[in-house]
Amino acid sequence: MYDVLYANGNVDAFPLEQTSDEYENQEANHFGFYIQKGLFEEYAAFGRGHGHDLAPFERYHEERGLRWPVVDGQETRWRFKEGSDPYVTPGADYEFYGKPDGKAVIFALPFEPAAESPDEEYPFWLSTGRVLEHWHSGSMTQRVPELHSAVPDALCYMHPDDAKAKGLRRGSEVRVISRRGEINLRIETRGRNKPPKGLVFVPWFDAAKLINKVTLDATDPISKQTDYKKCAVKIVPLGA
Amino acid sequence: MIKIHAIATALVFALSGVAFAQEHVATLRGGTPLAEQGDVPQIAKRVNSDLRQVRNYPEQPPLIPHKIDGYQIDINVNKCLSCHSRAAIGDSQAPMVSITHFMNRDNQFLASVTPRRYFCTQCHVPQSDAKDLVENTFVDVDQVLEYVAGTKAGDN
Repeated sequence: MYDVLYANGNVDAFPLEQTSDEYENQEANHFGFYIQKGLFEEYAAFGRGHGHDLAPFERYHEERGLRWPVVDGQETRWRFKEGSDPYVTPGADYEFYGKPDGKAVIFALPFEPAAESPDEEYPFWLSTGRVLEHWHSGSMTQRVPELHSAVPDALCYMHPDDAKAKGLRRGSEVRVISRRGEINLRIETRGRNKPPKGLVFVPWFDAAKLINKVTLDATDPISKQTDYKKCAVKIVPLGA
Repeated sequence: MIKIHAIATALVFALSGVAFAQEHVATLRGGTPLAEQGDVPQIAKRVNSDLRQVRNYPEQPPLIPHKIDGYQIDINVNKCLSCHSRAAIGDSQAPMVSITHFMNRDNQFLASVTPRRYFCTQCHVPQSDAKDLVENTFVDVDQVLEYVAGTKAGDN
C-alpha cells in the first residue's frame, strides 16, 4: 500500500534538498522526500492540458492564489473568453469548452410559492436563523463566557413600527404562535439589523427557546431542504 | 393476551426510558422539560462601565465596555469611528483602532481603516449582566506557562 500511495515514482520524486531552510518540515523529514510537493504535483498532473492547469508547486508559496488555467505561468483572468483563456478556440470569442456545443448550461427553475403565507389570523412572517455570536447552535458558543454574555437569549427581533402598532416595547414578553406550536419570547426592536415590517426573526441557538416548535416541516420539492426560513405566525402580547 | 401484556410492559419500560433520558441529557435548557415553556428572562442589561477588560489571549478582539444601541455602521457612517478613529481619540480619549486595521491583505498600511476591518461588530461585542450557563475552566497563557515551568522544576 505504501508503495502504491507514496513510493510510486511521483510522490517521492522530489528530494529533501528542495524543501525550504526557513521552516521545519517534519513530515518531509519523516518520509525522507518532499512529500507535500510530490502529492501536489501528482494531483496537478490530472488537470494540466485539460483546462484545469495549476502552476508549479513553488509558485503558490509566492502568490495569494491564481485563477486557473495557469498556462505558461500566466493565470486566466477571464475564463472562457478569447484573448484571456488560452483554451478558447481562436475566433470563437466566448467558448464554454467542455460542453458538447461550447455553450453554457443555464437552469431555469420553476417558482415555488411559500408553503404558508401570512393571512388575517397569522399576520406575520417568521424567519429563523443564526446570530453571529452563536455558530451554529449554542452548544459550544454558549459555553464561552464572552459570547454568551454578548447574546445570552434568543429574542424576537421586530421592526419598531410593528411593535408600536401592537403596543409592544423592547423587552415586552410575547407568545409567538403558528398553526403548529408556540413559544414565549422577549421583543427586541434595537437589534443589529432591522427586520422589514411584517416580519419577525428568531434565532434558533437557544435551547431554552425552541423556535422550531413553531416552524414548518415543509421541504423544498426539488432540493429537499427544510423550510425554516418562512412561515406565518401571530404575536400575542403577554403583558409581562 | 399474554403477548399483549408483554408488549404493554415493554412499552411502559420504553416510555419510562424516554423520560429518564430527558431528565439526564445535558442541555442548556435549565431543566425545563422539552414540551414545556420555561420562564422567559428579561433582556439582559448591557454593561456600560467603560472599563476595559483583560484579554484572554493577545489576539482576542477587545470587548466593547459600553452600550452600542442604535449605532449606525454602514456605507455612509461608522459611529464607532467617531470616537475610535485616529483623528478622534484626542477628543474622545478612547482607544484608537488597532494599527492592524489599517493594513490591507498585502500588509500595506493605508491612510484609514481598511474596508475589510470596517464592520466593527463582526468581531467586537458588548457584554451584559447575564450569568454563565456552564462553568468555564479556561486558563490563560501566563498560567499555562507557569504550570509548565512548575512541572519542569519538579522534574529536576
